[in-house]
Amino acid sequence: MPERSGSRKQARIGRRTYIAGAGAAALTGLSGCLGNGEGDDTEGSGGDDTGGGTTTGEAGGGSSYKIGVITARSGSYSFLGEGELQGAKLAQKDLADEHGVDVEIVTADTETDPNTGLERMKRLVNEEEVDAVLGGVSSSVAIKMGNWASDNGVAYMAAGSHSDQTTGGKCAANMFRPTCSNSMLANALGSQMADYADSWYVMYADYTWGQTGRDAIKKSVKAQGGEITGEIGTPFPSQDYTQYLNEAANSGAEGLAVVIAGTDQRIVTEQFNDAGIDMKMAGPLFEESVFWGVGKEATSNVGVWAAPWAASSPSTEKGEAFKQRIADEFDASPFSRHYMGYTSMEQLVLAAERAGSTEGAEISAALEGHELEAPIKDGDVYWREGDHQLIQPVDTVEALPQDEMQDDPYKSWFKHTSTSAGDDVARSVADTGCSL
Amino acid sequence: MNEGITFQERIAATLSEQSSLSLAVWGAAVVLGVISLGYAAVDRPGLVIDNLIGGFVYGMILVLIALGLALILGLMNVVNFAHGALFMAGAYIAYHVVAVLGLSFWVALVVAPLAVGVVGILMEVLVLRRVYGQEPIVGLLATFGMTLMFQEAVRAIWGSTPLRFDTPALLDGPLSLGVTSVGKFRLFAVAVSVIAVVATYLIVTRTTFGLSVRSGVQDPEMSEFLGINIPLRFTAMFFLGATIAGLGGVLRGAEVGMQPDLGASFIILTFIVVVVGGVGSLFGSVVAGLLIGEAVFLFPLMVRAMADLTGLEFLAIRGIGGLVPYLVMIVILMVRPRGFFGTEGFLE
Repeated sequence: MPERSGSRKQARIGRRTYIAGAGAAALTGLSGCLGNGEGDDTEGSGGDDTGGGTTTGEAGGGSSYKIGVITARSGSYSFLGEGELQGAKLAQKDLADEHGVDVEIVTADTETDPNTGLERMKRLVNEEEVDAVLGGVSSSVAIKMGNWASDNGVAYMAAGSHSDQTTGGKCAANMFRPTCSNSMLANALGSQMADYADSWYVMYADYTWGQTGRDAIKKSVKAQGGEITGEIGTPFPSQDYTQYLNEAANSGAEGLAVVIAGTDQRIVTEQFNDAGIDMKMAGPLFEESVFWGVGKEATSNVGVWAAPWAASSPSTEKGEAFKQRIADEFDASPFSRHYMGYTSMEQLVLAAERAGSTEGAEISAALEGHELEAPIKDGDVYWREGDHQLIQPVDTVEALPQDEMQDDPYKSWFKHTSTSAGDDVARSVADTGCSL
Repeated sequence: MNEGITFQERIAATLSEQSSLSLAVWGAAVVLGVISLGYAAVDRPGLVIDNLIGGFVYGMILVLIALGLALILGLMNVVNFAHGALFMAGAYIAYHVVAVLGLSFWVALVVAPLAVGVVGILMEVLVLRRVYGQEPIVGLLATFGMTLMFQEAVRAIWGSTPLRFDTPALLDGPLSLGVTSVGKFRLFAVAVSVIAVVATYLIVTRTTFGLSVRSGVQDPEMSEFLGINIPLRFTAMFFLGATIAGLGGVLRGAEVGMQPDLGASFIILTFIVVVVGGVGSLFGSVVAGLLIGEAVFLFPLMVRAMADLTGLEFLAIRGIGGLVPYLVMIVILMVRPRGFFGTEGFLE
């Protein structure tokens, strides 16, 4: 071991060296290596391993697929990505048990960075030779990956992307969205918000998803007779939101609409409560797991939210069982990302089965216009042909009083307040800007 | 042609010209800043006061996080990239103490930083001692590797779902300061930061222990001749730096909860504070933390005011707050490349 003592030759860090080192470290950190920098890992199907089996037309009972699950495994969205992966694994099990289909999952981490996501997507397709891909939490990442996949003949489910652009101006021939769009969520929430407060200030994450969410909220609230007093975009991610909350508190609005997701949504909620800001709160993207990190007391004050899916969502018999199975299989409480991961995997593989092919165009053709036979949500659920949006019922929820929040057998802290039919809240295909 | 002017005179004239130009530019920038802030104060007085106080509180939180990094860097010459991981470890250990073991927050406030300090000792003894005397990049890579190990260990033990723990009711909710309200916990964090800064300063400057450490930094060979156990003292200082990082983590975790990338989200910002303050200067880190805190909160208001005054809407750059720390660093390094108080040696 080198001795420190007597080490006059010990390298002394000069300012330039330090700044250069810190700069290198910053670049390394910013490029995502701080997270789960590891690339991909393969998660076997639990059944017969396909050894990378791809199907090229011989679909049917006993066929096998290799599906890439590429999502945020590190960073601010990692716990959401984990939910998507767990949902996909449950679907993998059901596909084996109910359809005799063997699915091998290969995972990759987007690190919530569009360029990293694209690079990992290329690796999954070119090196791992997956048949189709699902996943994605950040819309910026999902859109970039989805467009590349589509251009290269690979079917892709943008599992957790809510930006209107995903099935709008940035839609792609082989990209599908199994969750709700921002405008679907905002339209479902609009009437609730207008009833809840007369005027709103919008705070949004300043990237694709947040911007389209802002626009959708503003449009919906105004359509319901509400007033928008102002808006502020926030860098994402941020360590501190108090300056933006100060802006909101000084806006004179009665309510604060929060279009910020992931752990940052939790920071906003905590700092909102700690500062004692006298405003009501609402948001277009309810991620139940975010509020588990806030605690019951603070959560009981968070107001009304639109939910892609929630533990309190009205569900089919399969959907009710799904909630319990998530708890049993993963020792976790079910939330929206489980639904997204499950639906993505199930729909991709069943479409490939129907198409008898893993070609992106063939899977797309099998999905377009297809109505789900056994959805988790209770209501009409189908793939719209013109923009590849899964049209589905949209729920709104409101926080329960603390003493009514359920923890067992899984957490359910919100009550269901309304359901809107998917066709009533989705933009028309002509309005999406998508041309397929 | 100026045939009568020597080369030296021409250089001096050019430098003088450039210096005058530079002064004029900076002077104009300061005047613009004052005008825009004044306009903002008249136009939206409540918001300016909110952000002044908010910026101070935020700045002090940055100071607490940067303090341990500045201390370890100033003393050990180690760019401790794992500082963020130690910060994160403080939050998770506090979670374990409060939420899993059911003990009080006050117990966690003491136990978690000390536990992180012990982790720091292990890091120093088992890893960093082996890289002393080598190129700084070696220490940087070693601590970067440890950061990844810490992150994955946290993920394996506590999972990636965000966690939180309860704080005493005494610290919950807002406190009215007359003109604005601030979360009680944020004010508590400021108080702890002040105590930590003062205590660290006193330990380094007013104790025999601190004196021996500084002597070891300046001349380790002579210090050892005089019978001072330098490695032991340096390990103790690493313990102190890690403990402060752990303390910051406890406070941050208590305020907004935690997830495995908690440390990563702060480490770059912390490096900026140290660079702006001047490498090796504790006092510089305090000044830089406060400056960056205020700048992050006030600069967006100033550009908004400039846009309103001039009618040039593009000046109100959306989301400029997130860029402010980097802008501050660029400006400070242009004006004073060593940072505010960066000089050779420790605490100079």
